[in-house]
Amino acid sequence: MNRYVFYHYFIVCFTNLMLLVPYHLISDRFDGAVMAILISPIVGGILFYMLTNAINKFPGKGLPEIISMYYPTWFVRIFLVYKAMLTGFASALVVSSYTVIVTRFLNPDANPYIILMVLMLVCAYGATRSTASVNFLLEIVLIINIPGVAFVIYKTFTNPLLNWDAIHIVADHVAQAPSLVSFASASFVFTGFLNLLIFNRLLPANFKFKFRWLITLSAFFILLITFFLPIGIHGTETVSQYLYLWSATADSTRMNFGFIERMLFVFIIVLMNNAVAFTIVGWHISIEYMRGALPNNVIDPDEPEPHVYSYYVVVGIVLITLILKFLIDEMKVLQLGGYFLILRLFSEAVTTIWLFLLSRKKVRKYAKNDAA
Amino acid sequence: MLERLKVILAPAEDLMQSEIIHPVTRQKLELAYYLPICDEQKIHDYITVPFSKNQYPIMNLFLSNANFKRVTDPAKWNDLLLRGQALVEYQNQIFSFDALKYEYLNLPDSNFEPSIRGPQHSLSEDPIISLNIIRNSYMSPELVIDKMQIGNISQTNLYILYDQRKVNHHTLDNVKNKLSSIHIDLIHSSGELERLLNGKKYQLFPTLLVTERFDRIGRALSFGKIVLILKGSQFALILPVTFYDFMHSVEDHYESYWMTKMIVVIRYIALILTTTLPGLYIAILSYNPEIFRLQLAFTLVASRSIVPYPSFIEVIIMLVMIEMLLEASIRTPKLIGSTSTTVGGLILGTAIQQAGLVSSIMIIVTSLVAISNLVLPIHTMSLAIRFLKYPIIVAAIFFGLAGVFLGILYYITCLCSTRSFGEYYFRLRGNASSQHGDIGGTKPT
Repeated sequence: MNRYVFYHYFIVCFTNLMLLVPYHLISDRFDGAVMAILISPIVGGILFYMLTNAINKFPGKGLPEIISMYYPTWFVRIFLVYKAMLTGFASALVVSSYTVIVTRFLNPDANPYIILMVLMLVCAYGATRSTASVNFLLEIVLIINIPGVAFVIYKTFTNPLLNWDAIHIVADHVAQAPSLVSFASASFVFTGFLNLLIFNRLLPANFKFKFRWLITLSAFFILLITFFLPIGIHGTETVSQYLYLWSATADSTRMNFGFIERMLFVFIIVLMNNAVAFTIVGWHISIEYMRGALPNNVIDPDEPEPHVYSYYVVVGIVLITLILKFLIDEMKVLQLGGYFLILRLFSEAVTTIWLFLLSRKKVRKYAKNDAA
Repeated sequence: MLERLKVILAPAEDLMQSEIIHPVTRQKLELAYYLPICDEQKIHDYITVPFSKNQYPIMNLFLSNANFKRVTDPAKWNDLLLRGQALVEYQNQIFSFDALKYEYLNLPDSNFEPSIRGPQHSLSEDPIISLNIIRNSYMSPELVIDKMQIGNISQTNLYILYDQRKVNHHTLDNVKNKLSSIHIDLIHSSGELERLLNGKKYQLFPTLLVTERFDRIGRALSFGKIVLILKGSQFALILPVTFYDFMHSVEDHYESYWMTKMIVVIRYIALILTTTLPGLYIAILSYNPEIFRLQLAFTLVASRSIVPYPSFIEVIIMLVMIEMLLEASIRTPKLIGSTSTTVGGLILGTAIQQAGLVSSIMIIVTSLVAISNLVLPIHTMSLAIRFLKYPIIVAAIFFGLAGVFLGILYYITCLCSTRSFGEYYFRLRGNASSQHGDIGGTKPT
């Protein structure tokens, strides 16, 4: 069953690599991005170990249940609303960036708001399903997508235009101290385990986490690939001129055989599946947090019909995303994304450490009971 | 003997246990046999009638007739009963009497799910004959056959079959509750029952498997599924099912390993083609012809150059035509059926392309869609899939490629959130050992 942990880790990894993260990393490529990439798996790995150890002590419980075991209701509500907004915002960023990619590369004549609405409708439908359904959905989407992602990376890697000198030049700036934004965005790739805060409800009671080092290590390699390959393709300077870096990178690869000649279209389809699955999972977690904050909530990871709260919350999320899309343009999205990544890094690290301490506390309490 | 049998055997509705007391001599005879697999007439002729007439001491009959054998070991009772023997106890001696009946001659041919090397017969409309074959092929004491009546007026018999040891009792209770809550006056076919049991009216995918094949029923029982057989219907219902059951044909177990594995892959390819191809045609030709390499894009567009309207009108014309053709060939008598396919498929198809109303690529797309739909082995699923292409076409008309793929994602979401009687419908099995527990296993049931 460890594959489910793997899926949650990698959906976050893949989606962010291709949408938000490369922009911030690339703009700091001479100012410490390389160092950030090297440090982030260590920090991410430690947090991963802490969180998985912590939730192992609370089998079948999500974050809302765990927190409400220790703290008063008013505090739990504020905390959960904050967490819900944080998670919902990440997915909103992804879905709106993806809308821009669709309108730019696929349907240039289409109205972006309508495309966004349709994307969000599908995501909202998926996000209101039960936790078990979302989990299976994620599995299917990733199994369809991983060959696609591997193919895109492989084709880019074997591209004869890939310039290794450019990669060497950037890699030489390894000694620079990392900036906060680049560190935050690099470590975002390693925070997929946070989905377990809700999806732990599904894991069986005697669940053992295995291969945690392997998951972190492979995410690290994917991060290296997605950072350095565009530099090799576009060159050290030009690379910073693209907003959606990987779309441009995929477009510079040509396939000699087969129906489709431009890699871009394969990439966009793969990316769409990833982005939609990411948004579904993100919004689902957001819905579950919000429901935890609402009174008289019923927790059932395999509910036959979605609770009415789910619909309320998802309508709220969709409306907020639409309003944000009206107010903020593309450049601002990327800048705000930077601040958001920093905020998220700190609050998630704090949550993880906090949970870890709580789980220790629980063990001590039980130990005392046993002694007495 | 009868008391003891009650302890060893599963409480089956079809196990006949009777105690006959002779009105004059007050002698007692105990009789037990499985009704579907025994020839009742034979039991009457050899046991019940001689016993009640009492012209000839029945003990002598038992001892002299070669059809009766003495049974000393109670451990063998079970086996003997399942092999169509009737057990008789008389004066503390137990005999087995061979009354096996195997009704394979009375079965209709299998038309609906034909197979090349598998059994050639289908279920009978007489449930006793069907139960006979099932008991004969699934010789396990754990097989339980429950009986209930459905329909206020028709009082149609419904048999519920399951393997007592393997079935999920939670699901079984669920099904029995659902069955007893059905209120309907008349029921004629298992299709009606399927609709009543399905619960949700607007479900996209079937959550029950309708079959007429014995081998499929036997396999389903051995996997702990529940089989419903309705009197007067040639089709049994199997539940709960997963999506993969619908992609699986019984033939897959009879033929060469690699080829059948390949055919399963081909079925999935056909599934993808039949749902997406018309949508992709619209999306690619009207929105993004640049996806294809140049030569291919030219070929596609050139074949469409004489068509005077947008691609989606073309698609709708052809798909409506093919649906009418399919419908016509089902409803017409078999003798005329071939005419309609010739007229519709060959003549109309060629003519409409030559007249320049539809491009030749579209003809290929239409035939591919129809053929790949027929590749799917189960009819109910094939019908459900036939519908799926239309919403995708609508999405493709308005949103192009993004619409097609969002449509597919929507279907995947639907599949993942479907439950067949409380069990997951669409998920990868993996190797979930009982020791490590399954996902969702923490839920209190």
